[in-house]
Amino acid sequence: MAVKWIGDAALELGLSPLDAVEILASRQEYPMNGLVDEDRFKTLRLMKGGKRLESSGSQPMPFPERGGPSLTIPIPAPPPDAPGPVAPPPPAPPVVPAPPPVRPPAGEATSVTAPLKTIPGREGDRTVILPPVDPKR
Amino acid sequence: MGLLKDFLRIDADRRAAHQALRREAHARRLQIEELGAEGKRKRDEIGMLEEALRRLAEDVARTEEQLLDLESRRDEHDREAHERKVEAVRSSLGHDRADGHRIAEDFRRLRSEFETERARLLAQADTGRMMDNFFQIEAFLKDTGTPIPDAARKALQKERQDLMARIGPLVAPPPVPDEVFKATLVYSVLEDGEPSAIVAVGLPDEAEPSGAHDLAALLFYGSYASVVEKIGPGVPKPRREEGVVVYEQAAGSRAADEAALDLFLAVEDGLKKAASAAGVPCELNGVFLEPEIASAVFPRGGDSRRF
Repeated sequence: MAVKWIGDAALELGLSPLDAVEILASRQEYPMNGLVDEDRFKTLRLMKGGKRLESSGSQPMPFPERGGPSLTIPIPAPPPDAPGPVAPPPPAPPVVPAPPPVRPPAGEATSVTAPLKTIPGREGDRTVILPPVDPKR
Repeated sequence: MGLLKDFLRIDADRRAAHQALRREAHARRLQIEELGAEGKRKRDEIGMLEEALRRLAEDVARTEEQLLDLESRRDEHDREAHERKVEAVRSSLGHDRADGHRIAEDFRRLRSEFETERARLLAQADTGRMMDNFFQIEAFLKDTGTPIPDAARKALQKERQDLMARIGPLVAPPPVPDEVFKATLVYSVLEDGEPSAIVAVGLPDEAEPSGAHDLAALLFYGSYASVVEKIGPGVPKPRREEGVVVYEQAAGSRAADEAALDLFLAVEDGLKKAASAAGVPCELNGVFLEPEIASAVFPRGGDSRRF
C-alpha cells in the first residue's frame, strides 16, 4: 500500500497542506506522523472539491428533461381477481407483556455512576513525554 | 485774711489735682509703652508663624512634587515591566524557535542518513538473506519452548550481533535527536474589538517543500489537526508572525478565557502527539499572558503570513 507525505499528497491534489490536514482531521483521520496511506489519499481526493463523504448518499438526483421520452417502461396494472368466498382472518395471538428491566438498587454505584479514580503524577502539571525505549539498551 | 486763706487752699488743691493728673498721665504713658511692647511681641510671633507657614507650604509643595515623581516612577516601572514582559515573551518564543530549528535539523539529518543507509543496504544482493537469518535467529532465541544449549545460544547471539552490525538500520527503529524538544505555549485573550482567543508557539520554519523528515512541519500540521479535531472544522488557519505560529479564534458566545484555554489544550495535545509519533521527546509549558501583553506582542493586522 502506497504511503505519501501529506505535503506531497496535497501538492499532487492541488491543495495546500493545511487544507489536506483539515480535511483529514475533520474526519478524525489525520495521521500524526504525517504519512498518508492509500485510503486517506482517496479520502483527500474525494473531498478535495468541498464534497463531504457523509453527504454523498443524499445527493439530489437530476430531473430528466420534461420534453424528452420517458426512460421508464409503464407496467400494466394486474387484472382484478374474480370475486369468491373470503376466508375469516386467523385469531390474534395473545400478547404477553415484557418483563420490567432489571435496575440496580438506588444509591448503588454502577460502572457508569461510580467515580473514576485518578492517580496524580509525581511530576505535577508538567507534561513530559518519555522517549521510546531503545531496544539496544 | 479769709480771702488769702481761701486762695492758698485753692492753689494747694490745684497743685494736688495737677500732681494727681501727672501721675495718671504717667501711668497711661507706661500703659501705652506696655501695649506697644505687647504689640511688637505679637507682631514678632505673627512673623514667626508666617515664616513657619511659609516653610510648611514649601514642604507641602516639595512633598507634592515628590508624590508626582513617585507616580511618574511608578508609571515608568509599569511601562518598563510591560516592555520587559513583551520582550521576554518574544525572546522566549524566539529561543524556542531557534532550539526547535536545531533539533529539526538534527532530526532531518539523522533520518535522511538513516534512509540513505537503508536504501544502500536494500540495494545489496545478500541483504534479504541476512534479514531472513536475523529474524529466524530472533524467533529462535525468543522461543522459550525450545531449550538451546549454552554454546549454541552464544553462537546465535554472536551471529545476531554480526548481522545487527551489517543490517542494523533495516531492523532498528529510526534514530531521533538526543535533545528534548522544549517549547512554551503562550495563550491569552485579545480584547480589542471582537474578543478572541490566541495561542502562540515558537516553532521552527518548515522546509519548502516539506518532507517526511521535516519535524517542524510534522509538529505544525499535528497541532493544526488537533485544533480541527477538538474545536471543529472551519477554525481559522494559523499564521506566522515574525516566525511564531499564532492560532487565533473568535470567542463567539463563549467566555474568551475559556476559548483560549480550549485552544491552548488543543494545540498542546497536537504538539505532544506529533512529537510522540516522530519519537522525539518533548516538554511543553503553558503560560497565560495578560491581555495587554498579548495585544502588544500580537497586534491585530500586524505583519503576518497566513497559510
